[in-house]
Amino acid sequence: MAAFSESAIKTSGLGMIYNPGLFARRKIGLQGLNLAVPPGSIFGYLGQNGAGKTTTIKILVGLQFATSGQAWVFGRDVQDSRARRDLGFMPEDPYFYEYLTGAETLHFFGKLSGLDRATRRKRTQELLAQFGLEQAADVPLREYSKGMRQRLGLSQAIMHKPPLVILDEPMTGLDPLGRRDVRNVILSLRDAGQTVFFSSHILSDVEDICDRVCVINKGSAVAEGPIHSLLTGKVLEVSLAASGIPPQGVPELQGMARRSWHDGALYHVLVDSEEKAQSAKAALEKAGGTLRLIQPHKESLEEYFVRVTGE
Amino acid sequence: MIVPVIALNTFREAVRDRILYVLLVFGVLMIMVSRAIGWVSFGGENKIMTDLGLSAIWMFSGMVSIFIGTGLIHKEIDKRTIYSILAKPAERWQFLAGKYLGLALTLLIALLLLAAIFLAYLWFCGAPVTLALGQALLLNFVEMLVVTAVAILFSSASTPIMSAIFTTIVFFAGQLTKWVVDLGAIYKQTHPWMEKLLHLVYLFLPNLHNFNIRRETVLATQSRLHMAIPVDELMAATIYGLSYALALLLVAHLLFKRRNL
Amino acid sequence: MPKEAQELAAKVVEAAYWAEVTNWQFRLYYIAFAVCSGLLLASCFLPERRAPSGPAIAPSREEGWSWGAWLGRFRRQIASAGLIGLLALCCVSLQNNLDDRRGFIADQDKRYEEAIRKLAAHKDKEEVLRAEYLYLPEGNSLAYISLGNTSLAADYLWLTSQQYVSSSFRRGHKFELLLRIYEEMLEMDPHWTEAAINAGKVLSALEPDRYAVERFYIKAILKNPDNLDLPYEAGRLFVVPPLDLALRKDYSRRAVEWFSEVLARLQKLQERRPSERNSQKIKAIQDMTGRLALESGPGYYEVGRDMLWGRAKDKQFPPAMRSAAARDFLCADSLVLATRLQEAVARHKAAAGSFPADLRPLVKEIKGGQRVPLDSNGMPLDAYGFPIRYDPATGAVASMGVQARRAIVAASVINSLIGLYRDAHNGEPPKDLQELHDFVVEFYSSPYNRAGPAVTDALGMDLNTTISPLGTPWDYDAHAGKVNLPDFCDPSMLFRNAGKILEGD
Repeated sequence: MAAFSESAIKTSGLGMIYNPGLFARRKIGLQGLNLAVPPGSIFGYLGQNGAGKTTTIKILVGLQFATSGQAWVFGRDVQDSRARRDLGFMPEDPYFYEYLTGAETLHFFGKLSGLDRATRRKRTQELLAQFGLEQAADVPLREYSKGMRQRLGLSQAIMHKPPLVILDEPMTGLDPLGRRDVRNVILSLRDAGQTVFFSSHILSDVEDICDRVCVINKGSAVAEGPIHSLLTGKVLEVSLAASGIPPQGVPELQGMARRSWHDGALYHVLVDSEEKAQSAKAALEKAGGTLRLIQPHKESLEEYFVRVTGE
Repeated sequence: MIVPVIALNTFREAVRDRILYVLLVFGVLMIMVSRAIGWVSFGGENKIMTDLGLSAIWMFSGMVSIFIGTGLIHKEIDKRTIYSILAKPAERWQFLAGKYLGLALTLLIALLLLAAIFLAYLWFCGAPVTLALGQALLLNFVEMLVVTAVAILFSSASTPIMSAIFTTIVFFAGQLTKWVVDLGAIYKQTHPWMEKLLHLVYLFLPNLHNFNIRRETVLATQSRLHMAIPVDELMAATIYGLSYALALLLVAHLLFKRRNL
Repeated sequence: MPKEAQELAAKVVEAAYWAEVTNWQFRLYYIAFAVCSGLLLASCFLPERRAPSGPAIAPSREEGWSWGAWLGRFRRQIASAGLIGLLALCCVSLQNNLDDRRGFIADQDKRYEEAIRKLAAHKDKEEVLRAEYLYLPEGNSLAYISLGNTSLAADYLWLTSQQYVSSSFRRGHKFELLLRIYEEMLEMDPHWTEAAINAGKVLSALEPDRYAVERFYIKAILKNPDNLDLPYEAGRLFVVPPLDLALRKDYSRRAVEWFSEVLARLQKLQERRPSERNSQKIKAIQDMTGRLALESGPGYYEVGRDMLWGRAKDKQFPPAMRSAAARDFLCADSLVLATRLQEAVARHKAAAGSFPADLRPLVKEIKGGQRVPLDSNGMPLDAYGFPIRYDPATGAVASMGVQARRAIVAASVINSLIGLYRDAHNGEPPKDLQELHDFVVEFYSSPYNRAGPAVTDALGMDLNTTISPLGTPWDYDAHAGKVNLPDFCDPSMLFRNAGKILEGD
């Protein structure tokens, strides 16, 4: 196993150009990507559809070959098959052999990972129990639901307890309970010292669990770092709510507030800074209202994402 | 470890493929029907039966190689089952080798089944059964190993339909590659270099007629001899087949090695 | 055409049309057509109740139930069934139309036969034959079509040939066509000797020209040089003598040559791997060869003599066959002696310019390789014990024993012909042998009643009933109506030496 002081994943100037043929235009998949994923962390890889997330992941697991640059997993070039001993991979919308049962599938991938029979048996039981698939252990995969397949996909990725787990859109298509389970698994992997690198659209999930993120757009990384350092913490707007205000509202606030409305019980005001919020509070109280709510909205990851990807 | 795991899995997948059973049933039917055709003949009933049976086995084992072999790699890519496999520390050549050996095992089982039914039927009908038939069936198997390698080569480079078309063309045209030499003989007077060139081309083609000893086998069996061809000729044909199949697989590997999935 | 005939012809055509239309297939077709059309029409008129957006709904109890309303639920299915049925019938009728134009493979033969007949009306045989050949699959193309399964192609040709043999509507050129098929079969599977042998038998039954069949066998033999059955069958082609006496000698010679080759190889095989089966086969071939050699002319008598001697002395050979072989040996031995003496006479004439006065000086010349019995005067005797006849004027040498043997056979044939004469003339015998000759010539003059080999062999192609093989006129008893033989022609006297051979002398 490679030394853990090394980055779990490192890329240097990674590029991918698709050359479909004589008459079609060349397409840039990746361009000058530099990544460094520290070991023992959860790294979120964000981007729109077609930004290059899956391309990056496929290069890391050896399914595609970069046209320029290099990538390493725990210090080993990704083109060396030994690098894949240290990683577990779950593709987007995983698909396995329909005729195999859940347990057989895990045994199959366990064999490919080099596990001996006793270990395979033990890990299969553990994983099936952990992911709630015990009842379906002997059911052929063709009868599995999407959520069950996703869970099985995750199981086969971590079967051999790899130091690095790469997941491509692990939460897509799952219901909120399923997403919660997957989130908990990812957190437990980090707690066990494993590194998790996953791509996702669901920014709220990324925001909740990731230590670092990278945002990729049109094949290039546009932002990378710990979440808290990316989000400026700047207050974008403050919302206030007060009771005891008449339906016509408070005239003084019309010019100051971005928006104001009365919902029958409370009078709501939206201002775009903390200073204006203080003024609005004073105005409401002066108008005889009782302040019920004052809440600042800081820039969320989604807003940040939309900002940096230029949409 | 990787290669046998993939091979066994491929075998399990192939034996679940309905096309295999359809082809086996048709093969068995044709063997049974051969007796009826022999009946309408005055003289040579046993010879006709043996001929038809061997040809049926050849044809249907070829169909198995083509239909199952051409979809083998492409199906994995299309359904993306290959992603999880290649993400393991499995080299691409191991994947190809496993797929190939799995199908070879399937072919062997299918061939043994057809052969057992055929030989039992011959014996039951009172036709002569000798070890010479084993020679023909062995070379039949080697021929299918070559055809399967062709199927895998095309499957790793194109869609199943195109692979099926190309592999079928190779399967049939491979029986007739000698015409290339015949064609060369036409040019002997006018362009002698053309004759040599065509002969050279012929040497590199998959000459599947090398494995066709059905005529000699039938005659040997009718004469109750146990050898259709000498052992050294049998060995030469077998080694030719295995070498050619290996060469094709290496080409397939070259194409597949750097293919972006 | 007269008016009545035209009307009759029209009525016949009309009757045929209605007979066809009322045929059960047509009735079924029209019933099916009516049903499908009815379904489609009905679906147009059935009510369909449908919610503003949704499937058809059944009428509720309050609205009143009816068949139409109930069927309305299935309106779409009824329409689909009707349409599918009509389309299927359309396909069926189109199929029949196409089949009528193109026909089936089974009808192909009839059409082909019709085309060949038309061609034969104004083209010569060669062109017609060429046209027929084009219809047959050509060698190389069959190898390609069968994808290298030439053994299977040979089986196909074999089955096709049987169709040709059994088909009664193929007249003319059957031999040529079958020969071509068999030759291609031989090309496809050269070592299928069983089929080649059967093919030869079929061809020899179709064609009196045995040489053509022999050429086919030779092709097969060239491809199978180690096979013994093929040369044996080639020899057997020539065992049955032809009607033409001129060919008889050549036939016998060819048979002897083929059998001699087979014998030589069988004997080598027997030395290497003795077997009872081969031993019996050798004996049977020797017996046949010996007899045929007697008919093959000088140069073959010695071969026949040696073989017949072997058979006569073989105690394991059946007694009757030994006895026959011994008698034939006497003939063969006599012929050998007569031939050698004849050759010596010719040499003497060439050297001295004239024939010798008698044979005594020549006996010493030929004695070296030949056992020559002599009478008290030193004149050579034949194997029968009779003197060798010699005419110093012509130099002709003949064995009296052989002539006597032929005379016995000839006398029997003439007496049978006299019987035929009697049947044709109210039991009256011919007054002389010339009258018999005239009757016999006329009797065998019809192309459907030619003289058989037994008659021509005994009397010659000119059916000579007046001069016996002894060279003298027959002794004819007109009253009894039979020819008589001299005393020395008595079989017990003629064949006495045969007994000595059998006894071991």
